[in-house]
Amino acid sequence: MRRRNVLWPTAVLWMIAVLTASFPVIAAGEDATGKVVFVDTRNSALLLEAAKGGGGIPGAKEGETFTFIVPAELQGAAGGLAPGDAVAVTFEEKEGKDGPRTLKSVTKK
Amino acid sequence: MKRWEVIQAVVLVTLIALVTCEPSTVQAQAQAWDKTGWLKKLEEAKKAEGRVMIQYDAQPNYANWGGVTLFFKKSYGVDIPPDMKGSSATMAALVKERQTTVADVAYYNAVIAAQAGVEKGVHAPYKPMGWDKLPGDCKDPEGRWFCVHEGVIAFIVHTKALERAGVPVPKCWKDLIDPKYKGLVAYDDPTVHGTAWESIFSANVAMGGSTKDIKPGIEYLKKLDPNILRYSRDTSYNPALRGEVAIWFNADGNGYKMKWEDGGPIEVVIPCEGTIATPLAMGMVKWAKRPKLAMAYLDWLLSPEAQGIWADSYWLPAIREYMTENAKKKMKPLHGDYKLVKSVPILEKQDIIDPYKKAWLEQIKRK
Repeated sequence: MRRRNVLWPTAVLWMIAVLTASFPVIAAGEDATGKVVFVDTRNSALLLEAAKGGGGIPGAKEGETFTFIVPAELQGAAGGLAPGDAVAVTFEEKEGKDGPRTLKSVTKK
Repeated sequence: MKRWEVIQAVVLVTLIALVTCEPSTVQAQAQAWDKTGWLKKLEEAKKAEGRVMIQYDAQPNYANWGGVTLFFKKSYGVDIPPDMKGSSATMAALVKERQTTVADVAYYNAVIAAQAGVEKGVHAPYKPMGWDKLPGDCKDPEGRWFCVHEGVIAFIVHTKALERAGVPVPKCWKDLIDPKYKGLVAYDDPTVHGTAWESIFSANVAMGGSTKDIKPGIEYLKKLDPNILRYSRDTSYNPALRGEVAIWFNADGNGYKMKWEDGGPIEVVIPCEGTIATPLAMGMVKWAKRPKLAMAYLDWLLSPEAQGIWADSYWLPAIREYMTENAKKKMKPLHGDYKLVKSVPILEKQDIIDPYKKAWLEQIKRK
């Protein structure tokens, strides 16, 4: 019984460690704001111009454009956008900072 | 008999002339820019791929991309939206986005274009119309990048701002170290902008450095640092035009545009210790979603029309024969001479891009 009490916190710590180690692969969603430059419906992609200060896109500066993959469930929403629309998006970088960006949500502002 | 000899001689000379002239005539015809054929190609591309294509790094105020893309849209009906990325950011974006990118073509400093096309493998090989007229050292033999125009690194000076500060227009790199220029000098972040990288490399060459030795450049930049206003991640074109930046290291063409087109009190100085040329290049993106449009556009960029627009925008066209008389008249520096431009092969520069950026980040960049 006493032995079990000692092991319980250790197991929790191990679980936390495993979850932490897998965190970069899961990658949390990030927020960004910008202006729609081009909706490439044929290729399921959106070109977004970063807002002032980079609009939340890591390393970006105002006016730079970036490609976002539009997943099937967001194609309707993205298809309704037009160049010049101001949008807020959340996205994830599935393969870490070196991989492409995939939209998780897109909202017209 | 004499008359017969004369006739014989004339026939002989005519035949020799025809035989010797034929190859060059044929060659000239083959190299002539076939606009009719190109228009057909463009129309087919538009039918298949639409009327928008994407260029990474198309800053309206750099190399008159604003004017070039507007002309292309008005004349040929294809829209190319602006993009404010510099050369390094363009390469980084393509490396990251790879097959998902919507970019069809990319523009860079030629050194970075070569790195992107060859080392990073983000370009598709393509040799546009006019390829044979490009100088051999300004294109990849396989077509993974090629030059479109060239600038010369210079001091772009706002004469009114210098007058207000009570200092003379500098003539040499060494002048700028004087504390009287404190807060008056700027160059953009060389880890973001290819032209800014060329600017610090130009300082290195002027101080006696080379593609094998960056120490003179770093030592100079350290001495210059107290006088530097900022190392901007954004282009300093507008701040320099407004006089917020009194002395900006950049390509001469941008300075001449500020002077002649924007009407600013701007002069261009070729520093007395020398400077370098900075060729700019294009590449077709390996994963271009509109390859036919991309090819037609790249063809056009080497046409007499596009090359002439660049000449009239004060950028030396990659195909020199398209240089205009108007540009020759207006591209005159206040101090210095174009004879001071030192030639450094593009591929030789490639090996020191990253080490020089790293040294700059570690020893010069402000934390």
